[in-house]
Amino acid sequence: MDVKIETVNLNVWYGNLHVLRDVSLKVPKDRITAIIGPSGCGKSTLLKTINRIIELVDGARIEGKVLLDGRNIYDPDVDVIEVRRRIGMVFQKPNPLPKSIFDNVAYGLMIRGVRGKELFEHVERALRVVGLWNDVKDRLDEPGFNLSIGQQQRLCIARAIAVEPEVILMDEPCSALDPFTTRKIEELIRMLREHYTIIIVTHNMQQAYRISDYTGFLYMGRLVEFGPTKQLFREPREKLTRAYLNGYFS
Amino acid sequence: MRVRSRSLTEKSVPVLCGLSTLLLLTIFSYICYLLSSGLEALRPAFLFSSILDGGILEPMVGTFYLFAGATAIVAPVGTLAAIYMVKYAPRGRLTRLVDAAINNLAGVPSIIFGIFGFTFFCKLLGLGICLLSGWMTMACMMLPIMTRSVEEALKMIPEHIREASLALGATRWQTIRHVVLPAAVPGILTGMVLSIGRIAGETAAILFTACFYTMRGLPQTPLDPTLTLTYYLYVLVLYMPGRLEPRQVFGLALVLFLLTVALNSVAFVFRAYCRRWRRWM
Repeated sequence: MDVKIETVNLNVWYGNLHVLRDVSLKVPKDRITAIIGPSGCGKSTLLKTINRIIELVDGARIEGKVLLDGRNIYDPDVDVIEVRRRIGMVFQKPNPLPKSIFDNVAYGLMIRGVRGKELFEHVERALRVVGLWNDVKDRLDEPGFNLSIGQQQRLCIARAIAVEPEVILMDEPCSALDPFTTRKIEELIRMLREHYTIIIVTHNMQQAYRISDYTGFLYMGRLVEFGPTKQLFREPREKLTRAYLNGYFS
Repeated sequence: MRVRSRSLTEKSVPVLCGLSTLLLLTIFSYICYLLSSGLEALRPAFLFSSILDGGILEPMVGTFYLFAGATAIVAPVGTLAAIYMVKYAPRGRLTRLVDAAINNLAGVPSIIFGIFGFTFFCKLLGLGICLLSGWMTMACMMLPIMTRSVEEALKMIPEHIREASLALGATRWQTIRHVVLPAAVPGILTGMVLSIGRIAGETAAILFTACFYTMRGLPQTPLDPTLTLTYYLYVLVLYMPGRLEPRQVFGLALVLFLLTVALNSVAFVFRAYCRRWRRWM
């Protein structure tokens, strides 16, 4: 298995709060890796360290390495903008920009200087990939907020893939959606797996089981167990994992 | 006994409230009456002829120049200051000091701005009494309100919108330029309206900085003095009673009133239009 992203002894503090403790994780290329764990275990924090969005949090301190194709993205000479282009992100709550549907998808490309016909083609392709094109092709200039919540989340995924990232981080992308829409988004994520390395944070264990190839269980800032999803769910090695999967705590 | 006094309170409160409202209504209708008495003066011959011929062309155009220039200065300066305060400045003692200064500046009486403008712009910078000095003095007066309302607008923009932009690899400035600023446009407009409101009736601040009564026609450059409706009204009432008929004086006041209302409405309509992009809240 090819490793796309690797964290080495990753520690994160918010002020005095130690939220990630020595997390070392190898994320396989072009697979879906799920991170599960109870609320407050550091799942979202882990995700945020991978595209350095964590640096926006006041008082956050990071130690350790995050290797993208073997290169530490926290090295001083690494361009954070380039890192974020290669590692896209989809958030918990759909967060379209206060712009039109077209501009939402085009934004990431526009700020890199893509214009005209090329821009349009990229936008169309991204919207087709997420299955939104036929719904929105006649109203591309309407605000992104006019879409239903599920469509908004597709729009956000389209926005992320339009800049052709290598990795997509998803922070509980379905938690704001109803079961039917969740299904649809899950199918989409499964489909995207062929071209992208996906890391998805979820507290929905069934979801992790349904869609992921690998799963890591995070508890109190530590990575308790990591392995192929089927194996982790059927024969967890750690007691703590078993207890969590059986619903003894959440 | 106690029960009765309580019921007395219960009865008297609505009466007092009603009376206060009535008082407001009376004042408002009297103002309307005064202004409407100027209505018949509003003829093209009055509006568009020079003050030499008993018209108000110069003060009207001068007022417009003054509002437009001061707003054109304060809008970008106030917006940039607000961006700095909200998005860049480190939270610390200095920012708190600046915050306090902005708050206090908003309450400074306008005559003090007038004196400041006169000593600083007219004398120290040697600009003399002219439109430019007036613009900058007015802009100083407007700055606190402008900065505050843009700051409020910027703080209203949810963090996740900024995160979305940054996560796509946009720089801080690109995020501000393409996401934060467009979303703050309604706030910027509100700031402009409110700060124009602050200077709309202003006489004291331009008394020594921008206006001469004895002037030759309209200002040709920003370095010429100007005449405004408020200043002309002041001169008419105090120094030359009888120069215009009373109904014409009220006509002039009405023009000032309508100008402010018009500016407000334009900004209001535009703001409502911009709002349709702000449905995240």
